[in-house]
Amino acid sequence: MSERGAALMAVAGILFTIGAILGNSIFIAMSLPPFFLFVLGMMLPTPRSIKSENPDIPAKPWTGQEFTFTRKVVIEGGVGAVKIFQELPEEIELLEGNNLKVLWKWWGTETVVITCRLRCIKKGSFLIPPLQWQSDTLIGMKYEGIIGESLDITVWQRLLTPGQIRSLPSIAITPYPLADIPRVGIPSTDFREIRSYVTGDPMKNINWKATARRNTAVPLVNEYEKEGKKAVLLFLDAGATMHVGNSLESLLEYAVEATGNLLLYSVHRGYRVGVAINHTPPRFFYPESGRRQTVLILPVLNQLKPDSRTVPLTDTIETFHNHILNFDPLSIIITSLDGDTQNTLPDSLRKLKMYYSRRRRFPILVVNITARDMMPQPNGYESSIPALMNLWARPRVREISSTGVTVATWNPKRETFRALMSRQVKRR
Amino acid sequence: MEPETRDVQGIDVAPGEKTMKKLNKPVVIIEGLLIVLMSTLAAYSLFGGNMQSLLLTIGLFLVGVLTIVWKNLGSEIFSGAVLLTMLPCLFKHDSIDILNMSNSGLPGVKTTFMEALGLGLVMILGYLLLKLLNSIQIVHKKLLDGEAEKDEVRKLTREQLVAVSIFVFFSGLISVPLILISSWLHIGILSFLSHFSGNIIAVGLGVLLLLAACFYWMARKVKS
Repeated sequence: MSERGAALMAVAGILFTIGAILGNSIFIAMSLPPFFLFVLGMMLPTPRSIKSENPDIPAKPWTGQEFTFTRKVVIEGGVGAVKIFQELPEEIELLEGNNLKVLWKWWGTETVVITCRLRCIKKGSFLIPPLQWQSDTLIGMKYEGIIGESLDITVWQRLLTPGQIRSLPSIAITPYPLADIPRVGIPSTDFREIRSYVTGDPMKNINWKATARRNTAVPLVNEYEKEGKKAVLLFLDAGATMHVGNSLESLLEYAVEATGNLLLYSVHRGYRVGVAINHTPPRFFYPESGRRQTVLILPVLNQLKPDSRTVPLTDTIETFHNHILNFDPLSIIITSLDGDTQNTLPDSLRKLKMYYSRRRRFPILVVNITARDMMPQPNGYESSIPALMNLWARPRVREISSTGVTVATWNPKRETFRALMSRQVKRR
Repeated sequence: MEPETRDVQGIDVAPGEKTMKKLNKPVVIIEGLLIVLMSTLAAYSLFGGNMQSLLLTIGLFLVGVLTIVWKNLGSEIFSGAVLLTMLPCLFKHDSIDILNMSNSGLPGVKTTFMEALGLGLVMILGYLLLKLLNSIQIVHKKLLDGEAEKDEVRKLTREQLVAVSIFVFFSGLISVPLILISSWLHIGILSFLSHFSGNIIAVGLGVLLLLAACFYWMARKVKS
């Protein structure tokens, strides 16, 4: 029995008792309306037969995608107030409409349509809980339940179509692999250099004239450029460095977006792509070409959660050192100097440069994601934080650039990754 | 980028102002009318039509507005005060004068049985309406706090108001024939019960419990 029903019965009982004791018909008469109200309330059927169909959800939504969520609910029988609530995970933002419906239901069948405009604000797999309902009778009896099952929704990182960045090939001065030539593969007819003969070189490559001119004991051979696919290695820093932001927006989210886009772009260009995720435990995807890499790597990136531990990048570089030596790849490190409070990046870069030739600019690109515009600024004092972070990071960027490494600073709050990629194209 | 907050509670809005803004006006008007009616009748039943009656009406009205409309404390305090004010008038119709109140010189207007019955019914139906309206008002505020659509909440409140009025009216309507029958029979019943003078209270309580159990059982049966 509800509190309200109990109160009605108590009032009826007290009045009846007084009337019975004093022989007062008026008190007895006064006890009847609350009693009959209670009985009517109990006899009245409550809306409890509530049905709903599963809503339509996009099959593969991406972060930032907006969609309309519509759910039709049919309430049969009963009289009373009905509340219907569609809970949403915090990673899905409600833009328009309302996920809470309230109505008074009279006899008959009532149909309610919940329509909301939603936006996915974070990547990952989430559950949309079942629809909850609660009905309330006149005397305060409450019934509640759920309809249907939880719906699984996987939100993917938004990836650019490779065609959106068209200016990258040709005359880029940054060490993108399109302008570079692979180290392994079938020799082409393009001459590269003359070097001393080593065991295994084909006899037909010996340059007899040059050997005679130099008059050396060891013959000289012609080296030709190799045909084949250039390699790209992506080092994603997913450790404590990227643990900046809140549960909905963090550096890691943007780092994953950058990695996904670079991966897709490289695969589309036909490069061998390897990815190292600096996480606990670390994940390695050795350089391979083909779309299979995206199928393997993107789901892993999508499920990546922030890691509070610092994972040294040097260990990951060490794991890949054979590939770096063999393929001479473009290495792209996706990290944040704002979050790298222990200043570990210079050591990692030093180690990485050891595996590259010093004769030309290092094919190393650091994508530095800035966090300064993600910091909350609740008062005037803290509003200086972005400026201070900028002042702190600027000399470090300059220091890294001076060692021959390209640094691309990306402020995700001010520009898209597409804009950053386009900005990297510098014409001679 | 902080997720946009949907909390509508502004810091610069005074608590009283916020509470009043979330009240449903039709409900407040009906509550006010009921409070005025019940206060006036209660004061009249005690003092008749004089200045004391007017002062008591104002006093009861203020109690009602403060406890029901302003503070949402429920209708029990106000209805209790109204019942206390009406008691001397109602006690004058006791068949068994246990406390000798008929001749104790208590204030109170001398009313006929039907007038006293009318006063009592207005009081109890008013109490029931105020109680249900108060719960409607609380639900209304909670839903607005819970971010429900304003139009939907207004519609729900309007429908609830209609439902509550219908049900209270029907509960009164069902009671009327029983009241009339009991008023015709009570003298006969009393003369019958006078043979069991020592057990009249026990008989009354027994009947009450029996009736309550019977109706509760009926209600559960229908519900299931």
